[in-house]
Amino acid sequence: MSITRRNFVKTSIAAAGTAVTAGLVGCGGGGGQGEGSQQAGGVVEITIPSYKTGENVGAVFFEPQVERFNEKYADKYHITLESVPQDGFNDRLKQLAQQNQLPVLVQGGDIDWQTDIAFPQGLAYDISGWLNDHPEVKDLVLDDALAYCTNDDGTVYSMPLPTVRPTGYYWNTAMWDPQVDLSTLSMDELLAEIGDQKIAFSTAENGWVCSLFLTALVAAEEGGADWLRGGVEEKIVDFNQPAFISAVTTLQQLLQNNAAPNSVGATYADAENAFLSSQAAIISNGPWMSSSLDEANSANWSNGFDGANVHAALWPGQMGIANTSSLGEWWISAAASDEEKQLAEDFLAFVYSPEEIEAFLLAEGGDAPKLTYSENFKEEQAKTQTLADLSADTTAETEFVPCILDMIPASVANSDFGRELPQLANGTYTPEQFAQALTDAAQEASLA
Amino acid sequence: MKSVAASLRGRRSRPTSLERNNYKWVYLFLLPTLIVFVMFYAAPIIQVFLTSFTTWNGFTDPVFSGLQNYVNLVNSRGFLLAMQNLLYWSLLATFVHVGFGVLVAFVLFQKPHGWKLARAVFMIPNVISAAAWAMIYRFFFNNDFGVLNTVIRFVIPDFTVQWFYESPWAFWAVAFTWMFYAVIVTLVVLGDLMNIPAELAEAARIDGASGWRLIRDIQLPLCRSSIGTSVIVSVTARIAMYEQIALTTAGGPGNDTMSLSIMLVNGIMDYRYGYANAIGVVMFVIGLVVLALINRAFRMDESDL
Amino acid sequence: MNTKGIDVKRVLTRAFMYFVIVFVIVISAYPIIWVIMSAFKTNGEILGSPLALPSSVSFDVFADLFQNYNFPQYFLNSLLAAGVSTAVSLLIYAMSAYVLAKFRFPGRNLIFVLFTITLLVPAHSKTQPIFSLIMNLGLYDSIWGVTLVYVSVGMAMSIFILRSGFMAIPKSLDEAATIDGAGFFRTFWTINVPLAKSALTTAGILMFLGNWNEYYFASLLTVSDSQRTLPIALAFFTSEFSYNYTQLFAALAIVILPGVILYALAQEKVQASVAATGIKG
Repeated sequence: MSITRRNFVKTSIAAAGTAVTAGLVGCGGGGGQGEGSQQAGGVVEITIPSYKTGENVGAVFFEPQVERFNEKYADKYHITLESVPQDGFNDRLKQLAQQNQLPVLVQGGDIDWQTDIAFPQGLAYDISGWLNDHPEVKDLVLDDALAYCTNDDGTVYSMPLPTVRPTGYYWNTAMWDPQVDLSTLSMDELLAEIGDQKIAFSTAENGWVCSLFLTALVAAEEGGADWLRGGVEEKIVDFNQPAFISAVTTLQQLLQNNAAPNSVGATYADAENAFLSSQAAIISNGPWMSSSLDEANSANWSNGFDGANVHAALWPGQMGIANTSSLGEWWISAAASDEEKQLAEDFLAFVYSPEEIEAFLLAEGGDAPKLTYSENFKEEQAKTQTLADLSADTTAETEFVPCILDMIPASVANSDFGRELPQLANGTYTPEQFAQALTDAAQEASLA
Repeated sequence: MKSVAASLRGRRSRPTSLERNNYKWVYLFLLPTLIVFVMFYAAPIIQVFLTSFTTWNGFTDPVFSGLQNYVNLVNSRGFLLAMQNLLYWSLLATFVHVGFGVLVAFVLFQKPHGWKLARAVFMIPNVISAAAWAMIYRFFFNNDFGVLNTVIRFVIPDFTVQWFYESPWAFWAVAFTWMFYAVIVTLVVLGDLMNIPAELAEAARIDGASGWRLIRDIQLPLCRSSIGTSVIVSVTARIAMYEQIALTTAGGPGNDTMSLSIMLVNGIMDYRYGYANAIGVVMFVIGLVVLALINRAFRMDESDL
Repeated sequence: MNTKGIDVKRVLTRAFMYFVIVFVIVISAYPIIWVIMSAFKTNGEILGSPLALPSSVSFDVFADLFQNYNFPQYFLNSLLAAGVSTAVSLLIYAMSAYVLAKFRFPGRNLIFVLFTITLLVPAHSKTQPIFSLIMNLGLYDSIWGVTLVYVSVGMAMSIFILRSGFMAIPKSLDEAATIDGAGFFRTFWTINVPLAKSALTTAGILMFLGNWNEYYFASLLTVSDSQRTLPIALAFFTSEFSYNYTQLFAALAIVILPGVILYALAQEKVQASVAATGIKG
């Protein structure tokens, strides 16, 4: 899923971190009232809870975007944002759904909860008709995403994404300045070129940074990419695969020889900190990292690090880590009134307009494959080195592979994977034993 | 000295008529707590018990599956280690944590210089939330720039241990985050110590008891109930312990620091609510067994006075 | 008797006592001192020299945080939620603990067991009933809803501690009071409660701190800025700042310090009242 980025990490911390939490108990029905809607002088007003507010990284773009919407429709609509912390946000949605108090526009939620509970129970409003009436929007969404969000009966609940934000790798040219065209190298040649350069990894939380590198290594193996993609339909529970074991063998060597200090036990933030303090020359990460490399965020830099020195690329074989077969960010509550649904649809149309998509890409990175970019956008994008790098690498030939963590049972992704990584790093486990441990965990997790 | 305590021990007998006359007051006094219990706990407890015998994903109707969840739990990879960890952590809680808290209480009771400062400062770790505390300890135990290893490297320059991520240290690193922070034990026991009637100690002194004998024969036995309470509180805290593990080792490396609470949350992640609730029931049962054992060991149902 | 032997023993005992005192102070004070120190160091200094003092002192980070957040409001909300819930809990749980400690009546063991297992009820199974209860009471997004939930949280722990406190009070005192004609309530209120001050204080502190630091239910049940407690406000920025250890520690210091300061202010009074509770006879 494309929410896999910094937010994914945080959501999983939230899942693990907020005490023995979570929980949807009993059954909620459809119907009821949406939250906080009212009409004042013909203006439809709604309030939606969002975590992309305040200090959250997502707020930098999202809050002004909502303001732009309110301005554009000043005489018709008004959206008020409720600022709620990201930790526990999904729990709150579940509880609101139980009380028939879902907001008109719902910003995601647990993936499993949406697909297995919220949508089958009729909590979401079908937007397939609206999409058909608005080809200018429908033509911008990713084909894979639309196919994934379309149910067998033709209904569409989650608004498919228009953008893909593939993960590649970043390197600090002040520490490592390869003199070859990296895009022509195979994975083995790339690793040889990296030599003994330090790589930032994380094993704590869900071992996110490790999982990205591992995904790239698996995808570079024979049959690896297809094995990973198989997880979209049914979660992977058998890791005793040659492609996986071979990739893990390489990962183990990297963890033992190339890992930046403090990699074992590092959180995502620690790994990024290692890169931003010149303790690692290389980190696997997505386009959202470009904001950390911006001069405006130089307060986070240390040890002579300069964001201007950083370049980025997709993985060998034009491979980007991204799951295009995923749910989108927004869906509309079935309980909303007609005016509210109208507002919600107009909001989606606004967010999916070419100008807004381009603004989003400039702010947070990524690519909109089906959008013809404006000249202005290309110029702006070229100003940010790493965005330009990644954009240049993302073409029609680019292959997208989903991150391995999204393809395995939730508890294995959020708990077992990160717990077993230190065992791999310190040599307690062989790659085969690591694969067996994950297999055991995944099979246990898929019991009833 | 035993005879003094023994003679003061309460009798066990049928309720007296005085007590029976008080029944309506007794239940009236229990009423507010019972209301809170019914509002907040009755439904969840019943639900946890019932659904632990079902296959349930948390939203559709549960399907009865007998003891399957319990069988799955016992056969799971983490279960034995989780139980073993609970046992060892509980022993550490009983003997080191409570032991240290009692020791500090007796030291403070002597009012040496700085005892007020110590009593005040000892509280600080409890003012800090578990999340912040875990974060502090992740830095403290960090191999590269953690304080502990930096100090050790003054003596052994090449020293390197990933305390939270290496067997067998992870178990001890997690234990260290709570082992010596026993201010609650100290306060509870100190309260009991201060409540010991002055003439008891006086009488003992006249009998020639002093120092250690005074502590062993009079003060410790009379603090029995507060020490027992401390053991119950600390051991049940080990059963419920979640954040201290989740935010440091998350149960790793491997399953080294696995706990029932971590397994429960992992079950929830996979929408295995029936299974998770079976773990919850096991936690209830362990808690009750601990309560019964300690009540008996410390004869806590009997008042001395 | 060998006086020299006694002296050595006494010196050793003294030395041991001071060792314990120093150990307690070091393990308790060190973490917070280190956090505050780190908040003034640069990222590089934290990574490079963990024991060194900061090379310069700047309050910019703190100033930023205070400018962007309404800390006094959050502080008041936290104080209100934790304070009121603690006061109410102490009263009702003291009543229960008192009868559980001092009276025998049918159902006593069952009730004690029920109250005990509340400690082990997993939060995930409490979430839904609590959410719908608060919704139905119309207390969603209100600090009072959070306060009500906090009353329930400390049940088991407080009853343990208070029960033990009441058990330590001689029954002869109750009997004497009854002979003097004191009723049930007066025996409780004027004889037992004052004598259980130390247990009440301990339970009160424990509950207050637990609620002061509570995050999950506060975040689930409130939305508005005006209803926010400190832990929620802090959750908004701790994760954002973790890319830079200086800011992270500044945030941590702000998480920790209000509680510590509050405790420092209250503790003299609180402890003094406990110390005054010696039973004379």
